[in-house]
Amino acid sequence: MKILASYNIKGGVGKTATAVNLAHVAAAQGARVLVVDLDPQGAASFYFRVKPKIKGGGKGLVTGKHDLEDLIKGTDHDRLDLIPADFSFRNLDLLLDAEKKSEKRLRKLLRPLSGTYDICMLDCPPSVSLVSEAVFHAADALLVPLIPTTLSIRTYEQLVAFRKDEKLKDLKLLPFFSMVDRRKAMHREIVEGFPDRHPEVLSTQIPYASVVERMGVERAPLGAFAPRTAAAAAYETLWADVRKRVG
Amino acid sequence: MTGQRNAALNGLNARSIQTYLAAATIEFAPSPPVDLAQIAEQARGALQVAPAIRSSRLVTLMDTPDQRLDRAGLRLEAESFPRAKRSKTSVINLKLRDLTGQDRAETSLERPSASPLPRFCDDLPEGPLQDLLRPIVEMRALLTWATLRLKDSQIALRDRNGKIRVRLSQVSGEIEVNGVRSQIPARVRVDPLKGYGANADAVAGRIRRDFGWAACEEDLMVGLRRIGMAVEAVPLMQVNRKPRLITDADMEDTEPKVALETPAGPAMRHILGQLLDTIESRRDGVIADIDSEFLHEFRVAIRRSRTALQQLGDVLPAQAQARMREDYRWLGAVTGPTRDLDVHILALQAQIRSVSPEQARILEPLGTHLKDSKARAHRTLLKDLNSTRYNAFITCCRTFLAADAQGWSDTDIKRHPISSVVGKQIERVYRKAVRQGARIGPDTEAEALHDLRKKLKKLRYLIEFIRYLVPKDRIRPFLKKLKTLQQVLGDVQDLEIQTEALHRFGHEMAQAGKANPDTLMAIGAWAEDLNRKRAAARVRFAEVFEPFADRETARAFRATFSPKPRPQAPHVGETAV
Repeated sequence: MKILASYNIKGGVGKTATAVNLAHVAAAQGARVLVVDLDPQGAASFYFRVKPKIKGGGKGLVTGKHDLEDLIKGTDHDRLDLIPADFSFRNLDLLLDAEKKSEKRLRKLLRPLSGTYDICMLDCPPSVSLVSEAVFHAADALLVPLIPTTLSIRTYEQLVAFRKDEKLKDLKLLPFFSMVDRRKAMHREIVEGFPDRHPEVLSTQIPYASVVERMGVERAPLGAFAPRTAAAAAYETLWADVRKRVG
Repeated sequence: MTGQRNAALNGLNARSIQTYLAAATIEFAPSPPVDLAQIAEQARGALQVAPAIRSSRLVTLMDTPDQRLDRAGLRLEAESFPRAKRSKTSVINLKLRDLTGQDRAETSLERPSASPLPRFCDDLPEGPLQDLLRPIVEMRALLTWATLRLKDSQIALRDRNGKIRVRLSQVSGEIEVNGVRSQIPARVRVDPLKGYGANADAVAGRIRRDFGWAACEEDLMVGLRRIGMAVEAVPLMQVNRKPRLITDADMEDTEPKVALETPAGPAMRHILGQLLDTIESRRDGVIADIDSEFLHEFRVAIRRSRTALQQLGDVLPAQAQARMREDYRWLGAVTGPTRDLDVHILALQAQIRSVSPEQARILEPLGTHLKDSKARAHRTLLKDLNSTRYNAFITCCRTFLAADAQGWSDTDIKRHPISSVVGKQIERVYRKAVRQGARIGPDTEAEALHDLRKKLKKLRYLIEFIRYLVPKDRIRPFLKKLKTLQQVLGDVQDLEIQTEALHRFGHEMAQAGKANPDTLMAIGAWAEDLNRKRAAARVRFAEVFEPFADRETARAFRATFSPKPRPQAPHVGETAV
């Protein structure tokens, strides 16, 4: 099972849209996919129409009191399941802190699912915290959506530095541009210049599109309600890029 | 081989815990048929009924020619659909299930549209499905034994948020086996979603209560398998010329059986007849080149027949013997080159699986060279198998082996019980083999080991002619020692032949400019490795020969096979077998 995390220190960059749409593309192509909604806002759970509540809350999850299998909900899409968010996840940091080897806790919790799923997609809350540290230790790769703005690029640099400081050499960083508006000169400049400093950036860009915002109205991934749009096609290409990098 | 398969099955049980955890589906067989929308409306409870979605699909059921998956309690389903509308690429989903319908593993692959389904294990993507199939399927091809044209109707039951909680579906259609189509009895399924099992239980409960249907205990596909089996009994050769699956009866053909007191003449006529049936039933598979086992079994039947003709000549009509011996020798010779190349290709595939992807890529030109050579050899073989000589051989054999053929009971020896006649010959060949083996030392020429190997093959075939007449517990220890010795001798000779062949292939490829230095070096390194293994096998000979030839084995052997004084069997009609 490959564990991928959609992550950025910054909020509002398209993390949840990335996790939900890539998970849907992977499942549609035959992979068995589990999305884990770690964000207490529960946007991924909302998109899948699943109530953001789990038995035992965050504490049950972190302590392993409740079997992870029992928390899984089937979505409306074949081969695509979800562990929904819970509002108690806002305290996940504290709950993890109470555990031994907190940074390795998430990986340990997910290990029993490795025969059941091919892909585990973690939808992470924006921040650098114990939760994100646990995600970094659990994930094989971080998918980092970047809006082509100075602040967004700055947060990526922070992430690169953090990875270096924490000696997370095995963790792949897969940045890509999201919400790209080619009409804006600054977007074009940043998108063109960024690969010189960060050749690891994925070549696929997700365009800014109102149809992505409609996901909240339709409460479904793009592939389910707007499969022929440019944005849906971009997520398919992005998934192909990710597969090449992650194997 | 069977042990390996059993081990794989045990592995399956352990693995099943880890496979995709679909919640249990509940199925009903509606009688009389009821519209799915009506069932949904009646059983929905507080859930909302979504409009029905109708679709049709073609599912292919696959198995090896000798039905290894079915014997292992498994079935392989393949479903192919376009990648997208107007796409030139197809996605093939392959699903392995057990006979209760439980998923074991699945995979998908993309191919250009209208491509055939994957035929061998090596054609599948690496992963659990390939891992589970490989020890069971081995080198055999995966063939289509049935196609299902299914009509699905599906209705989702949603909650207030629009979330699907339960799916109701109705499946109907037809199954086609060997060109014969049969209707599939309709089924209504209640498919729960993970985490929402209570909703599915409630819906199924209302269906039971309101329609009075009991849940089906048998998976739909198990019923289909029974339909398929019934249709399979129709000989495919009467329907079309495509190679058919080998039935249980065909499998038994490869292990000739006769009764204990059957007179030797008629018994041998029966055994040779069964072996000829095997040859004929494998011929179409050899011609179509479905997989290497067809030719292998074809040749084993030839060798068994030749052993019968050589070793038990006294119980065969003289006229039959002369003609059949010559023709079997010819058939053995013309099938040899293709079989040799099959063996080299299988060895290369095993080698490729054991090395790194980079090394495997370097060996690719050798694979291409072997496949080209095999194609040429196979074309030549086709001419022989379609020749007048082959057809005349079959006709002649059938005439000699016909129920009313004369000369099978006209001497005393031919009227002796088969167990006595073959037992005497088995003992003679065993004694010779022991003498031959005892003369082999560490420096003896390879030729002597090869001769001993041939002798042991004859011994093995003779034993197989009457193995069903001897108690298993008495024959098993001896057969075990014989097989171990044969394995070591086989390794010594096969590895030598393979090493020589690799050098030859290397030269051929170099001369034709078909190999780069990396490939030639990889071939050389592989040949070196085989040479080391051959030397190790040669050292093992003395170790495995000793228990085969010791006094205790010889005594047990005599007690098992020596003909005991028996009253002479009465003269019986030649058709009595």
